[in-house]
Amino acid sequence: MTADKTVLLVEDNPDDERLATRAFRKNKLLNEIIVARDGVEALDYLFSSGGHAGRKPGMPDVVLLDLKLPRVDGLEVLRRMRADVRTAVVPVVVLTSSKQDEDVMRCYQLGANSYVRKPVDFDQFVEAVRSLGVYWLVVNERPPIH
Amino acid sequence: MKLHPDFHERVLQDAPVAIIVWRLHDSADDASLVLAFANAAAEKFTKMPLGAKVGQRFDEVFPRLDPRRKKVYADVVRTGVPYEDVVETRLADRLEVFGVKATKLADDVVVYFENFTTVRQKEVRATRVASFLDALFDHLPLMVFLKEGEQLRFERMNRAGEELLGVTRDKLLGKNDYDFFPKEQADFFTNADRETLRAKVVVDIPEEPIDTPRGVRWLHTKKVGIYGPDGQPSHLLGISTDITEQREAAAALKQAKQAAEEASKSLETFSYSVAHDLRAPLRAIDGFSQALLEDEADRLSDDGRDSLDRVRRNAMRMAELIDDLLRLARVSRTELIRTEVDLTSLAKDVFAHIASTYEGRAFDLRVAEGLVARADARLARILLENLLGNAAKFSARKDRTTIEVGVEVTDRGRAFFVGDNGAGFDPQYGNKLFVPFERLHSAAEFDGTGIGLAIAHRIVARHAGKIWARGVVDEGATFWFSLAEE
Repeated sequence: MTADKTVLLVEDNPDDERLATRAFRKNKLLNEIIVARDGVEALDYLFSSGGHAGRKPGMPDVVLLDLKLPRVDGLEVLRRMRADVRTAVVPVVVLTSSKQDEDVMRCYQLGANSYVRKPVDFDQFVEAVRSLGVYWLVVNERPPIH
Repeated sequence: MKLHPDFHERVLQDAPVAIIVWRLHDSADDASLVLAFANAAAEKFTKMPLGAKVGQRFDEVFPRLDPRRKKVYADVVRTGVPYEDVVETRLADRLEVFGVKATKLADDVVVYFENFTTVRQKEVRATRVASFLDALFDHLPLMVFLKEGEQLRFERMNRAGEELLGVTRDKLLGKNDYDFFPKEQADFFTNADRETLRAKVVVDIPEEPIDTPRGVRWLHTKKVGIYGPDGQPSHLLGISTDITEQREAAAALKQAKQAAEEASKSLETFSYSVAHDLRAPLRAIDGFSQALLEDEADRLSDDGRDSLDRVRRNAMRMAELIDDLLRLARVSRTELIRTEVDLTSLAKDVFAHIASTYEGRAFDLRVAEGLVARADARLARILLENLLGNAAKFSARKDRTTIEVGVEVTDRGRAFFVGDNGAGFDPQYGNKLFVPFERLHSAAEFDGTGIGLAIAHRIVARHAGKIWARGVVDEGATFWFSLAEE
């Protein structure tokens, strides 16, 4: 029932990427997961430019965004998304290692919809992904921007 | 106009000047000097009934007087040259000063005595006061100078001023600022002087540079005008303190503070990368161990599964340690903002949260009313979280837990305390309590990483307070702490 919804996972660490996709599978969330390995790739996907020019149209239902990324970092991705009318209302969940007050505050100020610290415990990580998936892909009504 | 017949007699007797007349019978013999007349003032002056001694010789009248005096008087008669002198005589405990004047009249010498004692005493006193004020001015350990009010030329400069400027007063007096300082500085000083005299207020110049042979010195100067009876400025008085060293110390302090801030910034960056970079591999270790446990469940032996569980537990433990280190670093880094903190309600609030994490335990919490401290509210909360958290944790094996929070006067001053009836600790290891990651109980007995009291210690230290503890094994522990006022 949620398989038609897509997730954009912005994550530079291949291990974290693998764990995240594994957590999705474990939770029977069979959505398409597009992975961007840095900020530039994420923006290219969102704005159908660069390597993603001419991709099939549509915005992801949720963006899972790491903060520490090569080239363009997560905060900048968030800033540019909110500044562009096409992506201004796309839900963004910051999923990161840091829980410094400054980072949390900055993300919310820039318009993040949620802030989740990646737990080290994989069981907790699976649980976190499950809650996120259920909430953003099932419970939440996505903005009408297709 | 004809004067009264008694005039001469009256004037002689009433004159406030003592008059004594001696007659020289034999001009070759000083000893022939005989008392011919003495007026009332003379009797008072000598405290002798001189009228009754007329006709007596000098030595008979004044047996104790210097006999050379006779020659002085005889000479006036012989030569006709008047004699004048000021004589100081120490009488009993006081100094008598009088003026003597002797003139010739036929064979007589007329001697007048005028008492200068009072006048002279005033003079002496005035001189003493003046020289005392001079000495005071000269010895003041601040530069003090006086300029005349018109051309602003130096009239006085004390020793401290000479030392500070490196100019002796003989080179300075009579000159003005333009003779010594660069024009820009002299303009500044002169303008301040004129403004002081015009506005009739004390002008305070907190910092002014001045060129001296020792290099540029910085002065804190106050200037005040001195005005004559007509209200016109007569002098300008200046007092300067050399604040060069203070200024340098302040600059050094500022630099040190900047360096400390930079160091703390880099610590912040370091914390951030620790948080981010160290946690990611741990997550992979735990995640893929779990993946192995799930995906290869059929092929893993019990030992293999146990090993993977241990890998996971240790990854977890390391994650906790990293988080604890970050919490400790954070306590040191945050700015301390003191406000009035209600420790009574804070303790109750914090403990309610702690108690909710222990299902089925009975707590008897006693918090004294009216506990107030001027402290950082956020840090005070973390402090109580750690102390009350420990109290609850280490009393878990008691049937009923009693925790008390209060304040009392100790031998180290007034201190708050948190006491429990829990496991306590062996006092001989008490010095390890506040060291990060030092634990007095095994992880099997009570969980934890050993960071809580290190954080408590750092919070108290940041408040310039003290923290100490007393424990008895199996009977409980009490922690006292003070949060010194700023």
